[in-house]
Amino acid sequence: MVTDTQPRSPGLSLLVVDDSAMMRAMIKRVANLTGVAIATVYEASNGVEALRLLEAHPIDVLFTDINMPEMTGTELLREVEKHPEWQRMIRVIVSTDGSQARREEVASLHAHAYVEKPFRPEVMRDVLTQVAPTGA
Amino acid sequence: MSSPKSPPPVPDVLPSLEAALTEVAEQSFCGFVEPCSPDRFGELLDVARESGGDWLRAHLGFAGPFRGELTVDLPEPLAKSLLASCLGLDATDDSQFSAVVVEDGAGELANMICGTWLTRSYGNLRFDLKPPRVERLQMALTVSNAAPAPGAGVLLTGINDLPVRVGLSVQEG
Repeated sequence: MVTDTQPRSPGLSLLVVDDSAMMRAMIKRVANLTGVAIATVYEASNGVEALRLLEAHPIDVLFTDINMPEMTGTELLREVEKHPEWQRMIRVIVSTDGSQARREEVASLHAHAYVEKPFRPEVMRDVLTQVAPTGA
Repeated sequence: MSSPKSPPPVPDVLPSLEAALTEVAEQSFCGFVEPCSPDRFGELLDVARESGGDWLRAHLGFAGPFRGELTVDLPEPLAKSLLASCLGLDATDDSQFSAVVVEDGAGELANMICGTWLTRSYGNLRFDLKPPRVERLQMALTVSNAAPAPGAGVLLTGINDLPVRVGLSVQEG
């Protein structure tokens, strides 16, 4: 689903994957407040929906939760690893689980950042600012 | 820190649970958390009663070296105001707060409290959190029915001058 299309162009295309609509809205809101040009924000509530969107649209930055029904964020990132065409996509984990055990589990999945919920808006701004030159 | 294989005594972890609640409420919801005595909690229950609305209970199960369940009870008007604060919405515009949206927000609040507590307290261990489940309570919370079940613990708090009860139970993994 596409729930927010900004008129600004060029800009980053984001995909926000979280089973909580509130958290997706929060990430979108913070992303739009960063000042980074954002063209489109796609949303998915689990990894399966996210894969469909990835196959249909070019995405610059993927934000994904870990604990989700149907397909977890870890499983989603493993699927992303299988697709050479998605390897330039910036991958950001946004999870309440900030444990060292979880971080080690996902370390091999080429996530560019690991953001713990709750997060301060400046953390998301820093992530997007770092990746903006790549995607814009 | 407790042995990673056995559940901690619930009274021992309530301070760290309160710290997690405070971190989540302040960072994500601009909420002011007030630890409450039963008497103060009763006063906040009176305020909630005057505000009307249902009581929501969010359940969040977790499993790992030990397992358990966290519950968060809060009045619906507080859930709406926290959502409004988090998402920059107009808290007085009820059209933005469908039951599904409010329940999702209450579930995410419980998810963040539980995840933050486990990360801060047991950061070297792996726990899996289940998706939140939110129900509407048939009865309003009172001081007497806010007491913990045997073996469980509760935090009686206020957020922005409305009552919030956080319950925790743990078992062997």
